[in-house]
Order: sequence, then C-alpha cells, then structure tokens
Amino acid sequence: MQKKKAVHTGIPGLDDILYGGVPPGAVVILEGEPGTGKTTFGMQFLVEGAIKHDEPGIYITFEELPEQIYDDMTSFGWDLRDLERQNKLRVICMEPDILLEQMLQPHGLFEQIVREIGCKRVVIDSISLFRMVGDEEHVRTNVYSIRNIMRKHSLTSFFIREYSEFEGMSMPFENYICDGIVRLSLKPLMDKYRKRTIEVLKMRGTRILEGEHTYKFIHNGVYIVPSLSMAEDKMLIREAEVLSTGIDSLDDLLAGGIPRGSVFMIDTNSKANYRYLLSSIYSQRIKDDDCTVTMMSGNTSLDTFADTIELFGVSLREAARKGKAFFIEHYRRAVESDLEKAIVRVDKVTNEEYAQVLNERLNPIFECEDLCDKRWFVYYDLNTIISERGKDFLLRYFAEEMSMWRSLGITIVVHCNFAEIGTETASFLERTCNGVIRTWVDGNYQYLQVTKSPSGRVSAPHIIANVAEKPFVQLI
Amino acid sequence: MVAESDVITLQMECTLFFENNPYAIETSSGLSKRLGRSQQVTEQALNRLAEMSILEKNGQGMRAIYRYKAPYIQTEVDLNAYD
Amino acid sequence: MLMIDTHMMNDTREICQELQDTYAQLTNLLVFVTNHEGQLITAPSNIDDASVFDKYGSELQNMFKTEIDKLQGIRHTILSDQWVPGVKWLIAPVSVDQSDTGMYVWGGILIQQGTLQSIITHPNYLQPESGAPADFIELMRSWIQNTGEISPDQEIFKREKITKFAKALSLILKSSFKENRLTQRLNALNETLITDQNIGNPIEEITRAVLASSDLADVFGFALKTAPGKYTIMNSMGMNSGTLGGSIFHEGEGFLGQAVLSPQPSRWRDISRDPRNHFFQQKGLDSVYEVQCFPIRYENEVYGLLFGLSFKERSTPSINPQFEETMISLMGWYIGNHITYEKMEKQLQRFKPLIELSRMIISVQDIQRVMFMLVDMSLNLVWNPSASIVVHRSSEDGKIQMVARGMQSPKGETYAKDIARRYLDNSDKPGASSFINSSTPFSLMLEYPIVYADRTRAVLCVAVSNEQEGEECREILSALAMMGSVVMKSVHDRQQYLSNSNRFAHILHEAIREWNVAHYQLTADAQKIVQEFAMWGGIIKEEAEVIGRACLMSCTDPSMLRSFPHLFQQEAEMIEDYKHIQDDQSILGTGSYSKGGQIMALAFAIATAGDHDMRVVNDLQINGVDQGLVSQFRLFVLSRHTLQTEINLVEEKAPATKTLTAEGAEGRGLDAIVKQFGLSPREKEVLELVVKASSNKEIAATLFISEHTVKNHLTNIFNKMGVTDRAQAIAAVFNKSIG
Repeated sequence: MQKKKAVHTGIPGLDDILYGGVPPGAVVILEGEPGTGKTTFGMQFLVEGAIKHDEPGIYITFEELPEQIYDDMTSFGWDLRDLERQNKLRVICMEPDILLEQMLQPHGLFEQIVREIGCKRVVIDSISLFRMVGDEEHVRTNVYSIRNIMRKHSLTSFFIREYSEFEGMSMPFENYICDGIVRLSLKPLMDKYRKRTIEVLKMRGTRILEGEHTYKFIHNGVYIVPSLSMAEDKMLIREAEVLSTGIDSLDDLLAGGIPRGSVFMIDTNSKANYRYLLSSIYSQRIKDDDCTVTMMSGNTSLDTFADTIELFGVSLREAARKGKAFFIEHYRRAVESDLEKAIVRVDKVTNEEYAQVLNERLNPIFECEDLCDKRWFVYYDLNTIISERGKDFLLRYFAEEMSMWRSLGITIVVHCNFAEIGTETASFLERTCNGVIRTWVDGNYQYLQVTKSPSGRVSAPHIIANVAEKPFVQLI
Repeated sequence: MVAESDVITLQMECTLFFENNPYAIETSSGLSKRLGRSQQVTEQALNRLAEMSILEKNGQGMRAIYRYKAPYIQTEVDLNAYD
Repeated sequence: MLMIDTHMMNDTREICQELQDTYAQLTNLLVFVTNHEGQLITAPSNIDDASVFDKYGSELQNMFKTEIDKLQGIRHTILSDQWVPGVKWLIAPVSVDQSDTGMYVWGGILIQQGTLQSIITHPNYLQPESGAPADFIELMRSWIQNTGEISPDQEIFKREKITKFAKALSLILKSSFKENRLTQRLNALNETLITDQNIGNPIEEITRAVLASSDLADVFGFALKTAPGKYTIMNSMGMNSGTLGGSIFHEGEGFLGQAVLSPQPSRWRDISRDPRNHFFQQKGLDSVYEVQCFPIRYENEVYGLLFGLSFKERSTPSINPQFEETMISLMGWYIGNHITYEKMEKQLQRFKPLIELSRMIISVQDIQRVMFMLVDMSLNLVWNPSASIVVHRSSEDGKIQMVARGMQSPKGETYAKDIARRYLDNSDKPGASSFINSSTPFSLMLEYPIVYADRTRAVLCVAVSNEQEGEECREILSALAMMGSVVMKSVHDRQQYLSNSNRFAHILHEAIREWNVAHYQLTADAQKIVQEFAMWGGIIKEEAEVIGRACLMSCTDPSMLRSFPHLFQQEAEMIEDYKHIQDDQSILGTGSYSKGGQIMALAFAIATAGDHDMRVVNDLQINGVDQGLVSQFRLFVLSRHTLQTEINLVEEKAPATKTLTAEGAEGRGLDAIVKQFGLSPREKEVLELVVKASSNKEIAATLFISEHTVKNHLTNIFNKMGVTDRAQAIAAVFNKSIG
C-alpha cells in the first residue's frame, strides 16, 4: 500500500523531526508563548510551500495588521507582495466572526479565494481569538467547523494558539480534534541565555523524533537542529570503538558497527551476492584511513577487487602504494609493479610455514613507526584457506592466529560458506567469533541476519536490497 | 453632518489603499481602523466606490466585505490590427 | 374686486366711524357704509335711534343689495331716488386705485327744492311700493318732515362732502390693507425661509413658495440655462400654467429669450398682437397682456429667468407692485448666487482631496500603477461617475496599453485605438488642452492629452453625462491629468536613467574583452555572484544592480566614471573602495568602506576562487570588510552547495541518525572542524554531543563510557581546537556552520 506523500513544511529540521513532513490534510496546532516566533513559523510554512513545492497558501490574521507582517517578513528575505502577485499567497485580515460566516457559506469568500489561487496550505493566527466569539458551546462548534472546512478543501493547516492561557488549565478540547500539536518554548540556557525549543507533542500518521529540539532564527527564517540524545536511540556501545560497515542499515543492527578488535564472521552462501557487502566493509576501512590485510580469494583478482572498491569512491591501489594495504595471495597472479610490495605471496608456503611466514612479513609492518598507531583490519576468505590448506589447518591455525591478532587490537572480518564446511567446523567458528552475520537465499530474495554479536543484540532476518548508489545494498 | 469633501477624500484614500494592496479583503470597520478614520464615513466612502465598480461588495451593512476590482487592462493593443 | 372690508382692523374701523360721524354732522345726513352684499360696515351716523337697522338687518341688507346690484360699476357719486318717490340719496362708491371695493357710502336724505309738496302728496307716500320695512319708511318720513328742502348749492355741498368722505375712507382703507397684505406676505416668506434652513430645500421649492404667493402676475415661471444659449422652463405656477413646464427657448428668441440678454428686469405690455406672443399662445395661454422678466444672474453670468405673465382680464392689480418686483428681483439674485455656489461647491469639495492625493502619488513607481490611479481617481472626481480610460504608449512599436473602467470590451479597444491615432500618432508639437468629444457612440468624453518629454504619451478620457457637467468638472480633471503627467514623467526618467546605466556599463564591460579575456570573465562572474547573493536574500535587488554594474566596470578608472554627471557616482565610489580594500590587505586595515565596495571585495574573492570557493570562504580574512558581512557571505556560499544536495534529499525517507550529522549545515560545520583540527572519530562524537548542550554525564551515558573518559576526550578536543571551554568550542562549530 502506498503511503501518502508527506507535506514538506520546508522549515529546515522540522521535516526531519517528522520523518518527512506533515501528513497531507492535517490540522496542526502550533502553540507557544508570545515571542516564540509562531507567526514566522506559520509564514515560513506558506512561503516554502509556495516557492519550493508549488502549494499556494492563505495566511489568516485577526490581530496583526498585514502591513506589519509584510515588513517583518522582508527581514527574512520573503517578498510577500510578490507572492501575492503570483497568486501564490493571500493575507486575509478580518474579524473572526465575519470570516467564520464567510467560511461556512457555500461559494463564500473563503472558498472563492481557495479556488482562485489553488490553495493547499492555510495558517490561522490565532485560533485563540475564536474563544471571543460566542459562548463555550459555540466555540467548540466553530472550531469543529473550521477543521472540517480545512478537511473539505484538503488543506494542510497550522492553527496558531497562544500557549500561556492554558498553563494550569485542563487540556483544551482542540487538542483532541487536531492531528498534531507542535509547541514552541523559550528555556533558560547556561545562566544568562535562553534557548528556543520546539517539541512535536503529537502528530497522527507519522513517526516523530520526540523531545525538545533547539531552533534559531537565521537570515532566512527558522532553523531547527534536531537533537540526537534520545532515549530510544541510545546506542548500546561498549567502551570499544566501532567500525562502520559503510551500510547504515547494517550498522544499525550492529549497534553502530563492528567493535574494534573483534572477530566477525560472515556466512556467505555461494548464491547470495555478498560481494557488495564485503566490499562496502572493506572500502569503509580504507575511508577511515585504516591499514588492511586482505586474503585474496580465488575467484577475485586484485584488479577486480580494486575496481569494485573504486565504486565506493576509494582507491585500493592508492592505499597499497602508500603501504597501508596488504594482500595475501595464494595464487600466482601478476600485479602491477608498484603494487608488488603489498603482496605477501604464500603460494609456495607450506601449512607449517604459513604462520611463520606471515608473521615475519607482517609483524614488522604492524610495529613500524608510521603505522603503529593506526587501526588494523584483516579480511580473510576462509574458503580459500580451506580449499588451499584444508579444514584441519583452519581449525588449528585460526583460533591461534585470531587471538594473537586480537591482542594487537586488530579487527578481523572473515567470510566463509558454512554450508560447505560442515556443521562441526561451522559450530567451531561460531563459537570462536564474536559476531556472526548470516546470509542466504530463499526463493527470490537474499536475506541477512545477525545471529551473534558482542552487544548481545541479534536481529531478525532482513532482506538485502540492491540500491543504485553506494553502498549499493540496503537492509530492509 | 459629514462634509462632502471629507467623504471624497476618504474615497480617494480607500482607492489608493486598494491600489497598493490589490488582494486585500476588508470590512468597513477593519479598513477604518487601518486608515484611522471613523467607521461611518469609511462605510459611506466604500459604498460609493462599490457603486462606481471600483470595489466589489459582498454582504450588507457592517458585515459587508470589500475587494478591489481590477480595471480592464490590455497591454498589447495593436494599432495596426483590424478593429 | 378688492375685498378690503374684510381687512378692516379695529383701529381703522374706529377712525372710519369717527370720520363718518363728523361728515354726517357736517352734511346733516344719515350716513352709513355698506359692502357689496349690502351689509352695514359702519354704524349709521347722525341718527337718534338706530335700532331699526338692527331689527331689520337682513331685510335692509337685501334692500341695499338690490340697489347695489343696479349700481354695478358706478365710478362717481350719484344721487338716486330711493324707496320713497322723490326722496334722494347720495351713493358714493369707495374705490382703491381704480379698483372697485364693493363698498358704498350712503348719505340721505335729500329733498330738492320744490319737491317736498309732491313727495308728501304722492299717493305712495305712506305706503311706498319698495319692499322696505315700514319702520324704515317711518324713519324716512320723520327725516322728511324734519329736514325740509335744500337749495342747489346745499345739494352740491353735500354731494361734495360725501364724495370726499368716500375718498378719505378709501385712502385709510388702502393704506391699512396694504400694510396687512405686506405683513402677511412677509410672514409667509419668513416661514419659507426658515424651513429652507432646516431641510435644505432645493432652490425650486423656495422659488415656488415665493412666487406662488405673489400677486404680481397671474402665471409665474422659472427657467434655467441647460446648455449654452439654451434655456428650459423648470417650473411654472398659476392657472393654466401646466403646459409651460419643460418648454425650451433660446437666447434672443421671443420675450423670454430677449429678457435673458439684459441684466435688468424687463417688461412688455399690451402684447396681444405681438408676434412674439406666439410662444405663449402655443402653450395654451391665449390672452397674455403683460410679460415681466427678472434675470437669475451672478455678476455677468445669466443662469436663467423668473417671469410673470398677466392676462388682460386681470381684475385686481397688485397691491404692492414695487415690493413684489423688488422681491422677485432679489429672488433672482439669490438663485443666481446659489447656483454659483453649487457649482463652486462641487469643485471645492474635490479640491482638498485632490491636494491630499498629490501628496500620496508622488512615490508611485511604475506606469501601470499611475494608469490605475488616473482611472480610479477620475471616477472619484467626476460628478456622475460612469466610465474612464487611460491609453499609454511607452515604446516605439505600434503597441499601446490601456486601462479602463465602465467600457465594454470591443468598444473600449475601438475607442482606445481611436484616441491613440488622434493623439499619440501626431508627430507635430503636441497641444496640451483638453477636448470634449461628443462623437463617441456611447458617452460624452472629456479627453486630456498627457504630454512629457516633448511628446504626447498618454491620454486620459473621462465620461460626463452632459455638456454642463463637462464644463464644470473640466478644471478638476485637468488638475488630475497634470498630476498624472508629472508622475509618469518621473517614472519615465527613472527608467531612462536605469536603462542607460546598464547599457553603458555593458559597453564598458565588453570593451575589456578585447584586451583581457580573463578579466572580462572574472568581472562577469563577480557580477553573477552579486546577483545570486541578492536572490539568496543578502541584499535587495536594487543594490545588487548597482554593485553588479560596479563589478563589470571594476577595471575602469573611477575618476573617469565620476566625470559622467549623475550617471555612475555610486559605482565609482564602490570601485574606489574595492581598490582600497585590496590595497589595505598588507597593513592592518583601518579604513571604513562602503557596503558596495565590501561586497565587491567578497564577490571577487569568491569569483577568483572558482571551485575552491568553500575553502576560501571558510578561511576568509579580508581587512576592511565587516565581519557580519563575511559570515553572511559564508552562509551564502554554503547554500550554493547545499542547495543541490537538499533538492536531491527531499524525496528521501527518514534519514538515520548518523546521516543527520552528515547532511545538515551544522554537520558540515562539525565536519569542517574535525578536518581542520584533526579530531578522531570518537572525539567527533563527543564534540557533537557537546554542541547539543549535553553535560558530561549525559555524554558518558550516551556513549557508554565513563565521565572520566569524557573529560579526557574533551581536554584533547579543546587542545586541538585551541579553545579553553565548551562554550568556545560550541561557538566555533556554529561559526563554521550557521553563524
């Protein structure tokens, strides 16, 4: 089912807090004490709508003289008269009872203006004045009527309301009939200052980033800075740093990324397209200026690998030339001459020699002055090890080598195909690793699931979806 | 008794107001406040302007709403075209 | 017949009675006065016992009436046999100004010499055949016995005296009557005038009130000028006058037409055979004997006429003709004044508003607004608003603009083209006078050509309902047209000035291309940046135009520019300042420079930086340029980049928390700081939370580290950034991003 497209308010930050915008046709109450900038908010909503989204609007004011509004808004660079000329805006200043009369009449003035400009947005400043018209009974009816009129014309509207009158009073009835409530406040900040905050108390039909967010008035209007320190989104991270995978949705599942110094296993099924997954993780390392050691697999040459990495906007070759990327090559494949120094050739090395050769080669590099305080990342293709050196080697070598590297604070990501290595080995590996990510294919879809992680968080299976730009995959 | 010259002055003030704010929508009391004049005389002036078809009047009495009716404009009358 | 007797007041009555008694004594006659009905007006004089008159009141009245009827029309005293044969009575008619009053003086009895015997011995002596009451006859008989015969001299004497008495009576009565009538007339007039003050009757009502009660003529009329040389009879009163209303006469035509030519009242008598009488005969007024005319005028202007027509059969002449004439003359003068005032008043009412208007329109900036103003205001000013149109030609091609009210579309355009051809096409010297056009198919139009810069550039045409109105409001509308022309000229001049400025600036700019293409491009880029800055909202459009021109001409020597009077003064100043700013960079800039110059410096800095503008703008330090302006420029350059990204991101769904940092300008600020000072990723996270005003405790909780670790991080961060505390760190981030 298609979700209805949100109405972008155009106020920077507000659309983020609302995860897109206001639901179309919503009636939102905008309340705050005097001086919080309700008029500016309302007008920005209309101006942005008119200019950026081709949604003309009407500003209804009962108290402020239009002249005052025109003048005040020029300081934000908004030429309201010009918008009127383009039939994108109307400013109506009228007594509330007369306006209400016109709104209720079929083919009345309000309807005429809505049609004239193709109005989509309305701001009423302020709804509090309707309390002056008639008694309590009538007030309710009036506000209901106005809300219904907005709905009838499919108008997205802000009803401005003075806040102070309700402190200590019971919840005003408008709160029940509107679709959203936004509150603007002035709070003390650091002794002498005040900060302006906006809070979305309610908004039907969309997620909201709860809590108070700071906003400021800048040269062209209101600017909201959404706050991040929210209870729901507190990241459960241990003291260790995390390494991003480059895929946001995966980072989310991993509570930020792969913790430094941990060993993560990715279980790949030959049918599952894990290439982008792994490439993203790897390229993110390069991006973060880490040093890497990569076990090349048989089906991917260095060139191909480098090309794939190129798609992510980093140069593997460059890293290799700088001496920050190293490759363990089991096969006799030629590379460019300046990259030769980055290759650790183990095609002629026996299993027994393997560890030694590797350490001889790599330890000096780990400890060398330039690179000793860099983060190190090792990426191992266990399938290659198993096919070249056998399962036993793996079982013996893996645990030992992994723990040594871990002690050096090196993060390791390995991948292999559990289905092919047999249950016993698979279980062993699962036990040994800190985190396990499984991928598989079921029917037409590829799936991914975090089945083990250091934070204790595991995930439900997610679909791996391909996207057009990097990191080219997304988890859903 | 309101002097005729005062009513005519107010007619002209209202006309100028609407020429400056062609999209304004006003009641006689609203406009009288904006111009700083008595509501009664403003209403008189507005009614005359409505009679002249400079303004469009919706409704009656104090609740009547007035809007500017733009005159007929042609910006490209070609002298050489046929009549 | 003048019913004077009804007007006899008490004191008049007394004096008449006294007079009568005296004359009765003098003539030794029984004297009394009757009216035309035979009623006794006075008590009989010289009689001991007048009771018979009371007793036989009505019989005697009939008796007297019968005699009076026989006497109709006597003009002199007569001696007549009455009731007893041979017995004579003197009967003298009382007339006032040759008008019969119906009153008669009776004086009796007279017995002529040698007739006594025959009277007494007459067979009817004791029983006369006249229907007189016996007692009256008895009375007469006693008089006969007591009086005796009179000589012819005595007869003449008595006749004379009775005649004189009648005359005296008439004089007394006339004077009293006139006085009464005058008082009545004045009272009536007063009443009319009082009501005039309260209700404000139109002139016609007052005139009617004054004329209707006048006895100067039988029929009155009131005519006004409705067109040059043409008069219409507005109103008429009196019998048979109904047909006069609405009739028209022309100057010089007939009695009335000739009367309007004279400033004095005119009168014609005995006109029954005058061919000019035809005018009245046509209207059913057959026997007009006399015409009297009183002009309605003010100084030298004749507005109309008050006239009175009298018929030959006029039975009663006017009691106070001089008074009436004066009255009506004054009336004419009053109406003349009133009409003049009304005409003036209309203009006066519009004069003050027009002055107010002139104050307000002087600031109008564009031609179309002026045209709107002319059309709307002309309708406000004219007496009977109906239609108005302004036609304007601004360019040399065949197109014109029109603004109109009250004209249906095809007719409006047709008329507009007609006006354009007649006024705007002429290449000869334009005339500036207004013109009444009566040949349009719809309305009488007043046409005002609007002239400035040696040509007729526009025409204002206003509809009037008749020629009179056209004449009257011509001046006021002319003032309006004049005001319009002044404002249009000022707008025109401004436009000329602007287009000239731009043209020259471009020419100078193009000239650079010949010898320095790079500079040509650079200056063009700088101008573009200035325009973008304006669109972004940093300055207003008008400022940007001037500064932009200055950029284009920045290679030109400013003193050369200054030599063009009124053309490039501002730009020259800006270029000078810009050059000074450039020079100022080596020393600590202390000068204060114009905003334009500063903006030029910034624009050129950005233009020179090209693709590296972001870097340049972040590190920008230009002496002499206001810091606030630099910050603004920074934001502006930022937005040039952000704009692209923002548009792409608008369609995205909820961004995850991490991307929030990367997108927003603040995030960019943070990134910039991180890059600039080499903060580690962890330090970046801590700084981020600091910027969001989290306390150390909150940061520790958020990042799951200890407060101690947080403090360590902060120390490192502050060291790297070269700040001493949180606030400075926050400020630095904001400065890099929002500012």
